[in-house]
Amino acid sequence: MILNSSQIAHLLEAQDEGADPLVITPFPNIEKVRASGSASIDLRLGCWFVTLRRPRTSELTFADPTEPSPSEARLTKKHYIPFGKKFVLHPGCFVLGITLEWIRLKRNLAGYVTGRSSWGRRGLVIATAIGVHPGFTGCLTLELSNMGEVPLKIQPGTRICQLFLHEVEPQADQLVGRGSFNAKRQPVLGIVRVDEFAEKLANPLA
Amino acid sequence: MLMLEYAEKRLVAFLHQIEQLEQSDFPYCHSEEALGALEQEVKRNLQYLRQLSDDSNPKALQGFCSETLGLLMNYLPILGFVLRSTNVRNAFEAYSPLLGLARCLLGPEAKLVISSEWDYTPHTFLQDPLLPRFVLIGLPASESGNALLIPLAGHELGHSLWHNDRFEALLGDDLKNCVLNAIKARWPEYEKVYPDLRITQTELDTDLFAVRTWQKAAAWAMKQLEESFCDIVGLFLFGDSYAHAFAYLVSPAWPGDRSPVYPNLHRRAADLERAAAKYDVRLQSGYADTFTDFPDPSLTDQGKFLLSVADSASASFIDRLIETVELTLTGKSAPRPIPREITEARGRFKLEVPARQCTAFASILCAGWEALHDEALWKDLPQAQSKDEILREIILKSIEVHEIEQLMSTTP
Repeated sequence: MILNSSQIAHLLEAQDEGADPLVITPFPNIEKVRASGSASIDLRLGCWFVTLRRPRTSELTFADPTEPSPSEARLTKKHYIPFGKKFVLHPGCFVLGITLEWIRLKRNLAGYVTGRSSWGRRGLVIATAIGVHPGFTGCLTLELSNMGEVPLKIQPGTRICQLFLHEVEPQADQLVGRGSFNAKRQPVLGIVRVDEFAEKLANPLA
Repeated sequence: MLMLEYAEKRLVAFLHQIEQLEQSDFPYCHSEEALGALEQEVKRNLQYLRQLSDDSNPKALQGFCSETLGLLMNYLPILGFVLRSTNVRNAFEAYSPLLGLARCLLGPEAKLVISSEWDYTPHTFLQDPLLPRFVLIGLPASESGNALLIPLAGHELGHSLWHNDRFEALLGDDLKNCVLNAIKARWPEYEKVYPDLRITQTELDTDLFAVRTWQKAAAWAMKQLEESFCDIVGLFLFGDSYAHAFAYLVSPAWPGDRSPVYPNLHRRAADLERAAAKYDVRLQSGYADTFTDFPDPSLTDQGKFLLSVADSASASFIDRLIETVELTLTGKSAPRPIPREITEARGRFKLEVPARQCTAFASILCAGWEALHDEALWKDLPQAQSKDEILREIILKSIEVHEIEQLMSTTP
């Protein structure tokens, strides 16, 4: 069941109680959340951005398990845009952003992030990898892409996306949302790894 | 004349470098303003230089060319400092609360540049005539993103406060008397290291040759006093997080001899313990014993005597400094860590979420150090990152949340 705004507001009001609360920080305006009548909660754009170092990156592919992974610093460049300043996203450009809010999901909640239609209609695609797993904590990395025809000025603090939340049956003592994206305040590229299955497929019998 | 030509070329090259740096991504306007102030000064010098010719008075020409060279030598390190203020390794989130603190201590016109140094010692450029309202604070590059070391900025702000509020002038006479009394109390030793002087104790302050003998001790004592003052300011503003950050950065001691312009390291830590007791700041027992003293520098017998006089004079001022800092900072309504906020922030950190509703950002830093020392914290949670990494992220985010909450509460 997808939570409605009243249910989300109710959970947020109880964020200082219990060992497994839903937390969104900075704390949203609860009255506005409740009054929105929507089935999601808006999230805002944070101050950190990450772009790819295109001149030095020939390609991005999966990580070879026998080789050390190239560091994020080698592949990407970080940008800090303080409150009051703007980041210009040009047509066809892709940048990783981050939510201003730090989220903590309860063990019985999962979520997914989508863009806001007002941005989407201007060509800004917000998120493609949208799942947020139970137990996740941290800011959410956003994949921002300008699919429109004119540059877009985006500003930290503006409402950029929405988080839908739904209940899941909690798994005993298992927190799946605790990978390398956990507990981050800056966007993270992460590593694409080949698992055993794909590795076997990649080495067919001669 | 080549001298004139070289001087002009040097200034043009410097100006060109400023113009290039101005194209950097500055997260805060004060770095740009600092560059702008330097640019104006270089342009002013260049304009004047271009009015000179080979026919100008050779002495004046030489003097001015030399002055412009001094300008470049003084300000090239500041250009580098300003450039490094743009580096994303810095804890940018701490900028706004530190600027607030700087303005609380130094007045609403204070400007701040936070940067990183390729030098391990935290550093501040003091009261520069071209940048009179600027506070420039640098943390070592390898630690400039380490939120737990932000309290060390308290020491550097202390230097600005010391100069801004003219504490040297306020304490100078009393310190001088203290030095004189220390010498008088050890008169036979004094006579032994200065056997040719042959003066009475009453002439110590009036005989020109005698004055020269103890001036160095008074100068050392004053510098030591300034350093102790800054430590105490850091402790007052940041509570035990300052003491922990200080220990992290320099304990037990670095190799090499002691500098006479600093109290020895163990004494600095013991003075912090003393101030902590007065300010109700709880430090771990035996805190000072995590530090060792530096070996004395190689000095003549006279130098050794003067250093020991300086040490005893500055040590006798510590209680007064502790009171002075409290009085001064309370008078300025400087925020201090709040125990209730520290406890609440710790509770939030346990949940792996940032603190909120901290009115003093030092509360966040104190909670951060408590969390670091809590060996049980997050032990039961599977982690892809180290505890230090997660803590750094949560503390910096907490500081950003603090800034947002401040903006929301003060902006109509």
